[in-house]
Formats: sequence, C-alpha cells, structure tokens
Amino acid sequence: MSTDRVARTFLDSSVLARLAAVPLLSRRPMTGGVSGRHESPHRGSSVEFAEYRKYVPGDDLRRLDWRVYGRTDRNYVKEYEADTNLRLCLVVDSSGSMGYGSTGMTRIDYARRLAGTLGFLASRQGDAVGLSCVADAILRHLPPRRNPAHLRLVLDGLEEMRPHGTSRLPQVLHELAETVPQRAMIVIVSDLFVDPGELASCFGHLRFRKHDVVVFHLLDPQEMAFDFRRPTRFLDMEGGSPLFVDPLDIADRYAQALSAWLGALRSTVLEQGIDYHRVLLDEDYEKVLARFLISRASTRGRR
Amino acid sequence: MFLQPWLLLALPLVALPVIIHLINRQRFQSVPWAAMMFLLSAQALSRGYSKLRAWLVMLARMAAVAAAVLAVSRPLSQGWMAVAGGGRQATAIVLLDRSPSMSQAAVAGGESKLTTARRQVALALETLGTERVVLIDSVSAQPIEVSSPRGLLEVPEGDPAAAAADLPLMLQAACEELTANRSAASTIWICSDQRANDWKVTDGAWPAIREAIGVIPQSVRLTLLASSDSAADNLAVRVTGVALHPRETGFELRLEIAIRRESDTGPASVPVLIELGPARSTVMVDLTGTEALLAGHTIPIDISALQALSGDAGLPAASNADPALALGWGRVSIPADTNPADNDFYFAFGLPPLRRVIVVAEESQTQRTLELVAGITPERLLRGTVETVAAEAVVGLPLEEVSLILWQGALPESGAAEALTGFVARGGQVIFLPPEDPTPAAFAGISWGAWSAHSPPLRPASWRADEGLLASTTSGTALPVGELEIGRTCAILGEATALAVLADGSPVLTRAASDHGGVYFLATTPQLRDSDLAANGVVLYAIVQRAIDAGLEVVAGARLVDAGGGVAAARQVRGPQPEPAALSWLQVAGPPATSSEAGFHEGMFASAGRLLAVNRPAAEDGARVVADEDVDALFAGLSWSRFQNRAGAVKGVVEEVWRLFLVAVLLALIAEGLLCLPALRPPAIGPKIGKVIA
Repeated sequence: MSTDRVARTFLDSSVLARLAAVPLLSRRPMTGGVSGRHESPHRGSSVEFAEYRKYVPGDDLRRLDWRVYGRTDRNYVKEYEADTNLRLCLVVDSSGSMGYGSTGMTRIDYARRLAGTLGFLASRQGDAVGLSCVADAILRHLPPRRNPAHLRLVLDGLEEMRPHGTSRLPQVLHELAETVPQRAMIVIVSDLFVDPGELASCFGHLRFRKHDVVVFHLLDPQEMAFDFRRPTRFLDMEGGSPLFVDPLDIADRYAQALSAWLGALRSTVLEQGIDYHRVLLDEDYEKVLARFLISRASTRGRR
Repeated sequence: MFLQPWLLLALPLVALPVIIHLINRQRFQSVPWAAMMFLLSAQALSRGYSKLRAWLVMLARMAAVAAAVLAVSRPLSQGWMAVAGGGRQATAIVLLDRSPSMSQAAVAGGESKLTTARRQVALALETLGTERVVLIDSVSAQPIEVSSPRGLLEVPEGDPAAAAADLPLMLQAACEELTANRSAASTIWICSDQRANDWKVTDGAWPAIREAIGVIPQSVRLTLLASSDSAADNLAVRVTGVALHPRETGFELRLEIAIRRESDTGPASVPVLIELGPARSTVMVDLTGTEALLAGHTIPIDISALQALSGDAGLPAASNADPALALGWGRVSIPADTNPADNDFYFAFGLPPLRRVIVVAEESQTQRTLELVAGITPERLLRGTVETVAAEAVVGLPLEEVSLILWQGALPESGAAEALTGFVARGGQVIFLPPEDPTPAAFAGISWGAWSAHSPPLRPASWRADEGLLASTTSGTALPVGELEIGRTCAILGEATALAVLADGSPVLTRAASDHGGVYFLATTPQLRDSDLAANGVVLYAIVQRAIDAGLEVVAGARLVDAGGGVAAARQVRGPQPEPAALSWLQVAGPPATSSEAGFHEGMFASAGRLLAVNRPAAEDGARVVADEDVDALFAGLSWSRFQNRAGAVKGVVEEVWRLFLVAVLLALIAEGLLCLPALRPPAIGPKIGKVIA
C-alpha cells in the first residue's frame, strides 16, 4: 500500500509481505460498514448458502427457490451469508512497565511491532483500524476507520507512544467496552500486571459486547527467570517505591508468586474465552503473528 | 583455659562477617523493574523466614570465625577445671594419697585410682606447662622435687603403700613448702579417694591449714582430684586374732579371720587361702551381709619345722630370738578382685609370752593372795612368773615385758610414778589396792580417800558385765560378783569409771581414764576383814588374769603392726629407737619395698630378733567417704575446686581440645553453606502461545 510513505522503524516490509498471505479473520460475526471477508450477523448476498426460510409476503421473489417449489409445492426463500469488514481496535498498554526489556527490545517496542503489523494487515484487507493507547487512562483514542490516511494516524500514534505512568488497564478496558460499538475485534497488547480477578471482569464486559478479544501478553525473559545474584534495589517503573531485596532470599517466593499469577490468568482467559497469547520478548514477532493468523484462518475453515 | 591466650585478642574478628555484610549492602545494584507486584508478594511471603535465615547465616559465619580463633588459642578441656588450675602455673604441689584404698580399680586387673590419678595429673601438668612439680606423698609427707610432670609416673614415692594417708599432715607440708619457696602462682593438686580415715575431718589442724594457705602471699589454688566411687564387690581379708596354744602334743594355731565387703551383694562363699610356710590350706567362708568372721580356726603347728623355716627365711639371729616373739609367720589371701591391696594379710605368731606380774604390797597377807592369783596360769602349759618388789624398786625394773603390776599400798610418787606412767603408756596394766593408811598421793588423777566400814558387809549391787575385767565369760556366764561380801572399802577420789558399785553407791572397782593400758582401782583388799575376795577367789582370779591377758596382748600384739602407724606402736613397746625405726627392718616376705618405706608396706619384717607383720590399718577396709559438703567446709574460704575422677578414666583432666573447635568451624561453615543454598525453584515457566478458545 502506498498510504504509509513515512518509514516506520517498527514495520518490516518483508514481514508484512510474508504475513499478507494469511488473512486476518475474526472468530465471531463482525459488524462492519462495508462488504468484507468477515462473517456478518446478518444474512446477505454472498455466494455462501446459509439456510432455507419460508417465504413471507414482501420477500424478493427473485430469491424464491423454484426447484424446491417444483418438488414440494411450497415457497422457500434461499438465504446466503453476508460478508462484512471488521473494526480492529488495537489497545496498546503504554504504562511505565511497558518500558522494560532485558533482551535489547523493550516491551513497548515489541507492542509497536505487533500492533503496527496487525493494523497494516487489517487495513490492507479493507478492515477499519483504530488505536487506543492506555495507561492510567485512555491516553489516545483513534476510532476504527478504513481509509489509508487513518492508518497513518494509527501508525503515528504507535510511534509517538511512550511508556509512562501507572497502569489501570481494567478500568480502561471497561471504558473501551462501552465506547467501541459492538462486534469489533479488540486486540490488547500489554504486560497485564494487574489482578487477574479484575481482568476477568473487564474481559466479561468485552465479551458481553460481542467483541472478539485477542490478548498478546508480553513478558520479559528476565521477569520469568528472575536471575539476579547481588543485592538489588528494584526501581518501580510505574513510580512506586523502590524495593531493596536480596534476590537469593526471595527467588523461590518470586517464582511461586509468578506461577500463581500466571495460573490465575490462564484460568481467567479460559473462562472468558479470550484468544490469549503469552509472548516472551526474545521471540520473533513475525512467528507470533504468523501463528496467530494461521490459527484464525484454520478456525474459520471449520465453522 | 588457653595455652596461647594472647591469640584471643583476635576475637574481635568475629565481627568480620557483620562488617562484610554491611559493606556488601552498600554495593547493591539498582535495576528498573516492571514486575514489582511479584517482588512485593514474594517479600511479604518470606519476610519472617528470610530474616531468620539471614540471622542464622550471620551467626554461622560468626561462629566459624570465633571457633577458628579459639582453636588456634589452644583451648583446654574441662573449662572450669582449667580455670581452677589457673592455666599455666609456676609450681604444682601434688599431694598423693597412697593408701591401700587408692589401689582400687574399676574392674579386676584394671587401672587403679592411684595410677589413674598419677597419669591424669602428670598429663595435666604437662599440658599446662607447669615449670616445677613437687610431690608430697602420704608415706613420707615430705616434699620431693620431681624433674618433670612425667616424673610423677616414675618416682617410687608414687607407688601404692599399705599405710593410711594423713591429709592434714600432707597439707601442712605443702604449706611449709609454699612458704619456704616463694614461687609464683601455685596449685595444690590433691589426689585422694576422700576416705574418712585419711582426711581426719575432725582433726584440729584443719583450721590452721586454712589459715596458713590464706596468708600465703602468692596465689594458691587447690584442686581435688577425687576418686570417691566404691566397688561394691570388693572383698577385704584381715586376721583379727592369732594365738598359739600349747597342747599336750605340740601346739595349735588359732586364727580369727574377718572378711568384709563394702555392700551386701548377696550370699557368697569366699575361699580363703592360709599359707603357713610351705603348707597351704584353703577354707571356705560363707559371707552374708557385709562382714563374715571365721573364729577359732585351728591349725596344728610343728614348732621345730617352723624354727627351721625361720632360719631359712633369713631371719637374723632367729635361733637366738625369743620364741615367744619370733616363731613363725603366715599369710591369708582371698582371690583377686577390684582392689588387690586388701586381698592379703600377714600375721606372725610365737609361743605365748611369759605372764610376768609384779606385786608391790605393804601387807603380807594381801601379798600372798596376790602372788597366788597371779601365779596360777589359766592353762597348765602357759608360763607365768610373779615377782614381788618394794615400791621404790620399781624404778629400776625392766617393765617392757611385764603384763601387770599389782600395787597395794600408797600410790607411787616421783620416780616410781614416772615408771608406772611409762608402763601404762606402753599398754601395761596396773591394779591399785588401797593402803591401810591412805596418803594424798594421786595416780592418773585418782587418789585414795578414807576407809569406810560396812556392817553388815555389802554386796556389789551392779557391775559392768558387758566388758572390762568383770565381763561375763564368752559362754555368757556371769562372774559371781554379786556374791562378794565387802566389809570395808576405801574411798576412790577423782574421775573414774566405776566397774562395780556397792548397794550404797560406793565403788568397788574403777578404771581411770588413760589413752593406753589400763589403770584400775580396787577399793578393798583380799584381807578377811575387808572382803571375801580371797575366800571367794573366782572374781579376784578373773580380774587379775584378765588384766594379765590384756597386758599380754600389747606385748604379743606388737607382732601385728599397722603400716605407718605400727612403727610408732612397735617403738613404744620396745623402747626408744633411732628415727626412723623401720630403717633397720629386714623384709622377710611380701611385695618388695624400699628400706626407707619398710614400715609402710605390707609384708613380714624382722627387727631385733622379732617378726613384725605389717598390714594396712583396719580403717582402710571401711568404705566411709567424707561427704562433699564436709570437704566444702574444710576448704571454705579458699580458692579450690573438685574434679570427680574414677579409676581407669581414659579422659584426661586437662586436655587440648582444639580439634573440637576445628570441627565446630567445619560444622558452622557447612551450616552456612546449607543456609545459603538457593531454594529449589519451580520448573521454568515457558511461553504459552496459542489461541485459547472458550
């Protein structure tokens, strides 16, 4: 596409070219403004048969199935699926904790790559793309639109995004659930360093609004391994009080707490039917996105 | 407590782990961190345990450093003991109780208390690096310089002896030694088994000893190495009576053997071996309770064979010796047990000595009566002589072999009194009968008063039938004292024990107080006007013959000599001898003993044509131990301590224990390492990437 003439550091054209072969599909019917490649909750005029329905006065006579009438002497209308485009809402966490990265790439850089690539791919297949940068509030909100100029705004927003402030992700997600019209694809890119119970609540809210919720959970390898040896003063990246600890003393308890938290998070996403992806920052984001897109495509084939 | 205490100056190094910890805390790194929620949660979970572990790690490190410093300071075991010993001491005075009870071992054939004490003290003094060692043993009670602590194990003055110890005397010698040699800090080591007869807690010397030690200017510490445990199964044998009785054909030896044990461990049958020259016989003695007595055990004796044996044994001038004093000797033995020092007992015997009696009488009838009752021996084959002398002639008489003096007349004065006093002091017996005209003269605090006539004559109302001259016979038959009729009595003035009292309360027979011998006062005479003692002669005869027997016991009893103390007894009987008397003794039988200690070891010795059987004192067979409280009282106010030891104890009194501290270092380091081990982490949590579909 020629909409993005400014070189974006977080977009790789070769990655985009390779991932373009796989469409971005939703898991549930979407409500779009124009025809697209996504299932719609309404019947339409696509080539894909949906069902037979008894004729009622007012129906278009052109849709009567004359073969059925000839065999059964009854009037049936043949209905087809409607295809529409989707509204892709990219919700990117820009709180202070997103600035952490021990592998040379910070979490927010990784989020830019994921969100930018997804937005580009969606826009390319005619879907509307929006962006919400969130921390303790919605810092920037771009409603989904499908024109290329809007994509540039989205990419600009991603580029200008800086990690800062505390995270109030559950509250922000509740707000977005109400703000974004029903049946959209909500892609959340965050470290999710909040209480899983609160997340369950907002995930339920989003599901109630019939959104297709995708979560890319970004974790740093150092956060998983906690491989420190010397006494360390840990500075809270979200502005909290620093903490002086001997890592050797608390490593086992840290691992316990992390494991418990991940277990609770997994239970939450399983209960709420969230498309959840745990991503370590040392992974190639192209592979992450490829697995995501392919899994979507294969699910669509089985519907 | 430490052989190199100056190294303890390094003890502040214990603070090193704390200092390193504080420095380390200053070298922390600061890391921006996103997942603070897990850190906070982990810290909340582990705050108590983490702090405890940190403290334990710190303590382990400090303990390791402290133990290392203590180890290089060469600590000594028995910390309080070492304190009592005061660490390195310039002079150590070792008081060694060599009494037979110290030969007791924990098991038969094991190391004795004495050997254990010598070894432990020697090792302790060597460990402490004591510069000067002085031994005061219980035999000589004189300070003996020992070249080195090891020398305590080699000097003959440390070997067991048969004599009892005299702790007060030894301590006095130690005080004199400390006063004479004003060395620096000193320690008095007392190696004893706390036997009551050795310690003499009632001895009046103890307060003086305490005072003497207290005023010694240099620092003096006392350490008691007490081995007061007793062996319940230990047996001790003793000959309590030996007498040679003439028979129609030859002689027979009557032995009275006592076997004693410290506690009743049930009935037992003890084989007692009696050696009499080449003849050996064994007699079984049934022991129930703690003591058994084999009385009246008779052995027929061939005198000619014994005399030949005495000559073969090297007894000097045996052929010229008085057969009454040196005829033969023997030994009784019991099987070996935990204390070998009380398993043998030597005895000597001879013909019954001449029953020599001296009569001094101012009245002829009384004189004849006394000569008659004194001259008739109880057994036909016994020999007896009665010599009648004037009162003033007593001074020149050899009284050493006289058993009894019958004195009727005014009480002796001046030279005669001195001669009689010496006679009584050596164990002689004197019976005084009143003169017709009493004088104010007194003997042994008693003097004659006025005569009293009793009409009608009185009979003795009460008398001591349990012991003394008027005791009943061994068969229990009482003497017919109550049948006597006393018509006249002379008052006995002074403090005396009444043995027989008339109905009106006036004494008939009294005994004056005396340390040795016997001094009796008969308040009447055998004259018909005074009493019917002559007519009813049984009582008078019994009185005189019993007094003769008592005097003979002293004369003949010198054959059995207590080790140590017996030397003095022998000297008393035989008259003044050059000191030490035992130096001239020749050992005939028994364990080898040095000539200087001849009287302090058991065995048979020959001296001046007589045989002496030297044995341990009877008190050594008793197990009575001085209570710890009494010992505390004896050393009250002094710097002293007690170390309870036991025979055969392997552990030393003072030992270097740096190895233990090295082990402590090792243990502390291992504990520190275990505490610092990182806790096992749960398996790594890998990424979970994939779609989750409800």
